[in-house]
Amino acid sequence: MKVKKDHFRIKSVLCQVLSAAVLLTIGCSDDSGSESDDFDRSVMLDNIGKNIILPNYQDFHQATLLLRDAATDFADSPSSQNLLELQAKWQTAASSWKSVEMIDLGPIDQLALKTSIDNWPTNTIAIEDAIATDEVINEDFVKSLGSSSKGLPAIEYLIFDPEAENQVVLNELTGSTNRLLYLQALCQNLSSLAGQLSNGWDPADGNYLNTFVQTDGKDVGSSINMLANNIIFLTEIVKNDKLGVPLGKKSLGELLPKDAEAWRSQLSLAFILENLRTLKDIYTGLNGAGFDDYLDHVDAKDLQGEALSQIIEAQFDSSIEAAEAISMPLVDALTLEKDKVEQAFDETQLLVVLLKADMMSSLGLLVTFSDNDGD
Amino acid sequence: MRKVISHITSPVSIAPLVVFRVLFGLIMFMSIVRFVINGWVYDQYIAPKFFFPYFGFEWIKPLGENGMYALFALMGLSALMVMLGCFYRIFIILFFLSFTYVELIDKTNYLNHYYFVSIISFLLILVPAHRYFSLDILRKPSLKLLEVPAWTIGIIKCQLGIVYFYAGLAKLNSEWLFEALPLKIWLPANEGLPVIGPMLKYTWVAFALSWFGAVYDSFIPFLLVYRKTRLFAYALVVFFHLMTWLLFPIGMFPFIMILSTLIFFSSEFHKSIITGLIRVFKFLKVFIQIKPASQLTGYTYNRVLIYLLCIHFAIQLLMPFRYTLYPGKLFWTEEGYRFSWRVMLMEKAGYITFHIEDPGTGRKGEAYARDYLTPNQEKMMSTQPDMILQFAHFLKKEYQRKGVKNPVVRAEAYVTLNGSGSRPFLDPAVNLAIEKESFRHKRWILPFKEDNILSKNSY
Repeated sequence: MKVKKDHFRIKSVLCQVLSAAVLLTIGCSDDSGSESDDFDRSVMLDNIGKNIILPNYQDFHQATLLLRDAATDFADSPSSQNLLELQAKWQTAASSWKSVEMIDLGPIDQLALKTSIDNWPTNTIAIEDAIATDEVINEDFVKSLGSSSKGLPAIEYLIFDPEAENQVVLNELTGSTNRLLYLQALCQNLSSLAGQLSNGWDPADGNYLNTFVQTDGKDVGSSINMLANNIIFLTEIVKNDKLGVPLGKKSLGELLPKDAEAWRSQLSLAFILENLRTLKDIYTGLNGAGFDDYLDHVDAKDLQGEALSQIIEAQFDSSIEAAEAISMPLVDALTLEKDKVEQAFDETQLLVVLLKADMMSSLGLLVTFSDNDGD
Repeated sequence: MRKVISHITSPVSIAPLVVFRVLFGLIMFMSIVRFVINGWVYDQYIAPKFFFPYFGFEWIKPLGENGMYALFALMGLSALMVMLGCFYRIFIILFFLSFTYVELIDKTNYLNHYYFVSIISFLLILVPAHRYFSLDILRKPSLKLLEVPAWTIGIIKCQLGIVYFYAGLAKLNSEWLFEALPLKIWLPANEGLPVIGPMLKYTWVAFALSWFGAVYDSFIPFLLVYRKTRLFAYALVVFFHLMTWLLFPIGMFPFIMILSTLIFFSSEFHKSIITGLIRVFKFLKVFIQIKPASQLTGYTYNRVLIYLLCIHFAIQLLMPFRYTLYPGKLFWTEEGYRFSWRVMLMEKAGYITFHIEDPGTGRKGEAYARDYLTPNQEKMMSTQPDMILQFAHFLKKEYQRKGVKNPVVRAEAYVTLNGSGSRPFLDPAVNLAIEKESFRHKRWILPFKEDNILSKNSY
């Protein structure tokens, strides 16, 4: 980073020297008043950071606190009513996580928290081993464990069982003190991690928001470049792993329903939709500046003269509509509504093409996380 | 003919050649250090699981972590030794071999300026650039020479001229000149730059810079050759390359060219560089004070060398035109694109899905580049048919390993060229697993059609 900044400073100084020469060569002096229609990347970043990322992190943190409390209530008085309440709180927390899942820059990257929050498929053997421990089960114990036995998917494993009645889950949890303690510790740990993320972005605390807005260049380490790569990365994950793998795309057509995300809670599709909607929010910047405005600013159009920003937004809508059209849990839809799942897969594939090729190409951004020379 | 021979063999001062050697060694050493510090040895030659060798050079393989770092160490040492003129012949050969070996490992990393470095280091093997102002003459004073035949400097100027002239020629296409593409796409992205930034969004600026670039590349060799225009031309060289460095991520190339083109200046100029250096670093005096042990003799060279050089330059002159042997739009097919000084000519990107089928069972699946390649490899492969074919063959082997006997590998590829919008790139019906690589036209590349749009193929 240090090197890059110095490099940029050298470039800035040189720019001023060269610009004098440019002005002489081209003989242009009248560019006053052009400031107003300039696209300011930091304004776009400010909008996305302040109005989408930060509130989404705060919602996620709130949701994990409610989940933690629900886990405590359940442990205090285990009942089927409290289990339903706990499951509902897990759904809200997991769903709000899906609205920040794409973010892979700032605190989540620096603190390497992503896999501790959401690493699927979860490792049920490791979880059962952890529960069978002789050690004291608390948050510190959870911290010491590998990421495949904690986070949202581990909690899901403990409180959902699609192949049995909720009564079976209830019996399992009440039948073992360790299991209950582990559940509470997992929820406690999750809320701590969510707090770290929320605080990390909070202007009154870690204020990564400020760094995010200030890093407004377009090189490899810039917020725009990282954000664009984050968008592409999760869109490909949705296509390849969340839809493609269960559809058997990587297993020569063999359906793999249990490799779907969140198959235990049967919320796979809800989470995919939450992912896609947030991706679209970040792309459009909601009511403020987003990637679509940036594309319009550089006047990106295809050969037919259609604005790329519109084409991409329409493709987001087609992808979301295609996923919404599936009328049952993904696990069942794989066999009963396979055409619809395939359709959703195809729409996200076109979305990947537009984002990864067209958008990146038009904005002069790099589809990579490491720097390298071109010519 | 006789006149030409006497002209190219006439004795001239060795100074330009020697200064070139020192500068080339220095900038190469710096480039290599930068490359290693940036972690690119790991990123480009250790991290990838699969590499894209050149047709006919499949035997060139990466050497593993220790091997690659050792090779870069050798390369850096060689560059330093070339600069110092120490055991020059050995080290310039080692530099040429190590550098070229690394470049041949993976097409992903092809850059015109790497090709340029390989060629220049090859030419430097053939000339006595170490026989003045070097450690070699301290070691063996009889090597010292004050004059060399004109061709030893001429070949480097000639090579530089070819690079520029062909780069200019390549810009004489309608998209570059009449649509200001791809500069129209690239420039607005730089508007954050101070002072010149705000100007870059105007289309006329993209046009002005496109035409300036084309004219600059085509005429700069001639302006550098003639004494009267030389100083002006060199000012343009510095301006042009600093501009490109400012606007695009092109690494060390601008500096390599800024230093290399000094060779067009007179021997007086280069002598004054040497005396200037000696004035600053007094100890360098020993390099020139050495008295040759024997009578100064003329530089002798082999006739074979001249023929070799004739062949080299004939290839250099013809290579960039080989694309005319292929049908279709060059930027789209990229058949005959590399090794032709086509620098910064197009903005191209794509996305590709491989469809795998087991003909025995009829089972179908997909394979994605990101599961096997680095992001940069995937980016490069997605738009270049020869790399797509190599990767398809790799997938064939992967699936054979998994027990599929004769996997069918088909490519669903979409590419956008100069902001055209993504459109189908390859024939989705062709089984790439059985297509052979050759220099023949790849018939499975779909023609570029203006009215094509992004639409899903069915499989």
